[in-house]
Amino acid sequence: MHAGFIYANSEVKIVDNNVIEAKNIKVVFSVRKGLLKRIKFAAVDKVSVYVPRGSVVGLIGESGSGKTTLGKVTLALIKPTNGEVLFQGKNIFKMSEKEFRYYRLNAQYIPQDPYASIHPFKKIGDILIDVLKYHRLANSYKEALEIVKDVMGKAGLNPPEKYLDKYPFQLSGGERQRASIARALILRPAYIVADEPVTMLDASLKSSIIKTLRDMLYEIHSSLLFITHEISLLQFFGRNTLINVMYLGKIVESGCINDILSEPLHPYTKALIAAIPIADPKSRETRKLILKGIAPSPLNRPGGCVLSDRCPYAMDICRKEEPILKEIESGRRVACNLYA
Amino acid sequence: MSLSTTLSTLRLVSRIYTKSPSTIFSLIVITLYTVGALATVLGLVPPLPPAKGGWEYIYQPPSARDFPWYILGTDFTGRPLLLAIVRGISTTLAVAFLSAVITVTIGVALGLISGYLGGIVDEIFSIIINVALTIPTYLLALILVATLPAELKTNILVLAGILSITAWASLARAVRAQTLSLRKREFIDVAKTLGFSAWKIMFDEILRFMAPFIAMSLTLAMCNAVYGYTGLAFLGLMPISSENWGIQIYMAIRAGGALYSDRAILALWSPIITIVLLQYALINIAKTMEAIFNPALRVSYIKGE
Amino acid sequence: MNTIKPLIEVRNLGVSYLNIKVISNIDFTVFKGEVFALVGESGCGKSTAANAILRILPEIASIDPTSIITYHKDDLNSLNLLAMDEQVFSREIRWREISMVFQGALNSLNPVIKIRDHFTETARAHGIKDRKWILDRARELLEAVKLDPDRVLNLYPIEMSGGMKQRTLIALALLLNPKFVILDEPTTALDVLIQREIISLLKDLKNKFNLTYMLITHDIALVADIADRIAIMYAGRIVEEADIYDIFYKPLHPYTQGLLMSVPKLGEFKEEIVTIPGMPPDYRNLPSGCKFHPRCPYAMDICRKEEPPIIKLDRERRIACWIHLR
Repeated sequence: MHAGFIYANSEVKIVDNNVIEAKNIKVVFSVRKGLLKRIKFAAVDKVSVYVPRGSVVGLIGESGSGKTTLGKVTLALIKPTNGEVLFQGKNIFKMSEKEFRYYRLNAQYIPQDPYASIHPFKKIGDILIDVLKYHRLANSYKEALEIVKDVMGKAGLNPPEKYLDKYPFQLSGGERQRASIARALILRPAYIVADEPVTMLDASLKSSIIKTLRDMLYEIHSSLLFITHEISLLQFFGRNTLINVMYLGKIVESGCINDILSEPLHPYTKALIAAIPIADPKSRETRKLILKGIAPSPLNRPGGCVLSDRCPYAMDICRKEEPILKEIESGRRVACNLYA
Repeated sequence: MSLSTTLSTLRLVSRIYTKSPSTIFSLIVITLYTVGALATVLGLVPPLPPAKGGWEYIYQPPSARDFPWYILGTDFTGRPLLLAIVRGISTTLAVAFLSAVITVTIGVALGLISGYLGGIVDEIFSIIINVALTIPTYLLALILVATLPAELKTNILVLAGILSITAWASLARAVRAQTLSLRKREFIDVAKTLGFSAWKIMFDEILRFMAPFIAMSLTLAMCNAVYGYTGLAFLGLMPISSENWGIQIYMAIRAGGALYSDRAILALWSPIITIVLLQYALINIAKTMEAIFNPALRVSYIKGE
Repeated sequence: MNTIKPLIEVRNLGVSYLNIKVISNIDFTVFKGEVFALVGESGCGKSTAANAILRILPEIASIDPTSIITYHKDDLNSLNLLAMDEQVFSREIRWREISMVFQGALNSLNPVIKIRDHFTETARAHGIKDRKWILDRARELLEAVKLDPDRVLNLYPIEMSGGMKQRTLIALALLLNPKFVILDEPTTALDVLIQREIISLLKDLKNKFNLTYMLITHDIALVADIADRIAIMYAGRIVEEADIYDIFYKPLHPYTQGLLMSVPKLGEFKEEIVTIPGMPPDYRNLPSGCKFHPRCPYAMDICRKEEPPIIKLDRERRIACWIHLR
C-alpha cells in the first residue's frame, strides 16, 4: 500500500493452523474480605481455547463466567497463574523483546464500553494518526492521514473528513464503537479480541456494526475472538463458527454454532438458548426457564460440576465429581455427566 | 493549520473570559500585572530614586508630583510607593510561577509514576510523599530562609525552590489516586495493546486526562506561593527592600505605626490590595482552566449553551 | 374485553430541549391492564415521553402548551397531568399513582447509601414518615421481586449484581402501590438469562398487583415476550402503532420492517447481513418530508417533500407512511 507500511500479519507464521493457542489457562484472583482475610478464587479454571487462522471464535458466557479475563489473557493484558498462550508457537509470556513487540502489534482489542474506551480529550483523527506516528508506519503526515481516512471509511465513519476533528463525546455510541474498530484494525493485526462490542448499542445497530467488523476482518484475513453473552450474534459469522460456552470459569460446551443451536447438549447451553429473545409473540409461553436460582458469585462455586446447584438434571455424582470436557463427536465437546 | 488553531484558541479564550464580570475583571488584572512586570524588566519603568530618611520624607501623603508615581505617597524610604509596588510585580510573579512549576512538575511526575507502575516503586515513592506531607511546609521554609546567606535570599530560583519544597506532596497524592483509578479503564488497556510504552501511557494518555486538574493546580500553586513569599517577608526574614510587598507591609506596621495611626495607612493597604487582587484573579483563572482544557466544556462554550 | 378503559391519554405531546424539537406532537393511549411498548432507537424521544408523563423532564425542556396528558384515576376523576400544580402532582400522582422503573445500568441508585435508606428516603420524600411501615412494605416488595430482604436491605449498590439492582428498582417503583408503572429499558446491560427472569418477574407482578405497564426499549425482540400493543417511534414521531401480532406478523412501516429484520433469527445463517441503511438522524438537521425517507428502500417523491400524517387503518392500527395512504 505505502512504502514502509508494515502489514502486521502478513509474515505471521501459522503453527498448526492456529494464530493463538491458549492452553490450560488458570487465573486466580484474591479479594479482601473484611480487614485481614483474603479469599482466592479462580476466574478462569484450566481452560484451553484455540483460534484458527482467519476465523472467528465465539466465547459465550454471562458476567462472572471469566470470558473477559480469558480474552485479556490472550492479549497479554493479564498474566495467568498457570498455563501458556502461544503465538507463532511461542509462549507470549516468555518471548524476547523483539518477538513480543511483533506479537503486540498483531494482537488488538475492541472493548465493550464505547464511552470509556476512547480518550475523551483526543480527536478521533489524532488518535488514529498517533498510532501510525508512534510506530513510524508512515513517512509523512499526509501519508498517515490517507491511511487513517481509508480505515475510517471502511469502519463506516463516512465521510472521514467529518469525523477527523471530532471528540468522542460528539459521537453517538455506534460511531464511537466504529472508531474503536478503526483503531484496532489500523495496524492490520492477525488477532483481535472484541469484548461485547455491540452489547451497549441499540438492537437495530448491532447487525450493522457486526457487518462492518466482518467485512474489515475478511479484507485483512484476521482472526477474531468474539466475546459476548448474546449467542445469536455469532450467527452473523456463518454456520461453522466455533463457539465455546463458559460458566463460572470453565468451558462447558464447545462446537460449531449450527450444531449447538439445533441441538444444545449441556443444560446451561440449553438454558441460554431458551432465554434468547425471539421476535415472535407466539413463542412466549413455550420456552420455560430451566435453571433454578441465580448464578452464584465466582467466590462461591459449588463443588463438583459448576452448574450442580442449579441444574434440573443434577445427579449425585454431579455434586461430587467435576466432569471433564470430552469430545463426544467430531468437533463437539461437552463437560457434563449426562454424556460421560 | 497552526494559524487557524491559534486563532480559534484565542477566540475560545476570549469567549470564556467574557462570560461573566468576574472573569473579565480577572483577565484585566492579570494583563495589567503582566504588563507592569514586563515593563519593569524591559526598563520602561523608571528606577527608584535614592532613599531619603527622616520624617520629612517617609510616609508622605499622596501628591501630584512626578505623576503618577506619587499618588500613593511615599514609603518607609521616602520613595514613591506606587513605583515601588509596580517594580515588585516582576519578582513576585517570577517566584510564584517558578514555584508553581516546580511543585506541579515534581508532584505530577511522582504521582503518575507511583500510581501507574505500582509495586516497589509505588511503595518507595509513597513513603517519600508521606514524609513530605508530614513536614510542616511553612516552618521548614522559614528555617531555610533564615539560615540562608544574604546573597541567596534574593535569588528567585532559590526562593521558588524553598517555597515548593514540600508543596508538591499533596498534589502527588491526588495525582496518584487519579492514576490508580484511570489505570483500570478500558482505553488504557487499548493503549497497551496498541504497543504504547509505559512512559507514553503515563505522560500522554493519563496526563492528558488530568490536564484540566493540572492546569488548575498550577494556578492554585501560584496563589500559595504568593502568600508564602509575602509571608516570609512579613515575618522579617527577607532583606529590606522597597520593591518587596511583604516588606512594605512589615515596615508599615513596624516603622510606620500603621496599626495605631493613619500616617502609614496607604503603605499598609496598598500592598495588601495588590496581593488580594492578584490572588482573586488567579483563583478565577483557575476556575476557567477546566473549561479551557476539557473539550466537552469547550465546545459548549463556543456554542453558547 | 368491552370494558377496557383508557388509563393514560397523551394528546399532542410536543417537547423541545432549548430550541430543538425532540418530540413532535404525538398521540397515544395506554389502556388499563395492558402492557404498552414504546420502541425506537436511542434519542428518538421515547424516554422523553415517559419523563413528560411523570413530569421529571430537565429544566432545559419545554412542553408545548397545547399538549394534554389525561390520567383517568377512576370512573369519576380524570386529571390533566400537565396542567396540575407541581405540589399537587408530586403529592398525589408521582409515585402514588404513576411510578417509574429506571435503567439499573445507569447508576440509578445512590452509591453511598444502603438499600434500606433508599426505601426510607423515597417514602419520606412522599410524606410517609412511619419507619416501621416503610420497612415492612420494603420487605414485602423485596420478597415479591425474589430477593432476600434481610440481606439486601443492608447492602450498598456496589455490592449488588446488575440483576439484583434492577429488581430493587422495581421494588422501589412499587413502594406506594401505583397503578401505572413506566419501565425505561428495564433489561439493558443485563445478561440474557437474567433478562428473561426479569421479564418473567414483571409479568408476575403485573398480575399480582393489577398493574398497567408502559415499556420503553430499543429492543423489539424483547417486547414480543410481554407487550400487548406496540408503538414504534422515529425522530420524535410515532410511525406505526398496532397490537403485537400485527406488528410482528404484518409490519407495515419500512422502519418497523427494518427493526424486525435486524434481529438475528435462531438457526438462520445469511451471507448478506440485513441492516437499516444510513445513520440515525441529526435532530438539529432533520430531513424534509418524511423523516425516515433517506433510509427507506421504498422512498417516493412525495416522501421527500411532505411528512405523512398518522392515520388510523383499522381496529387500533395506526400508521404514518405514504405507501399506505390512499
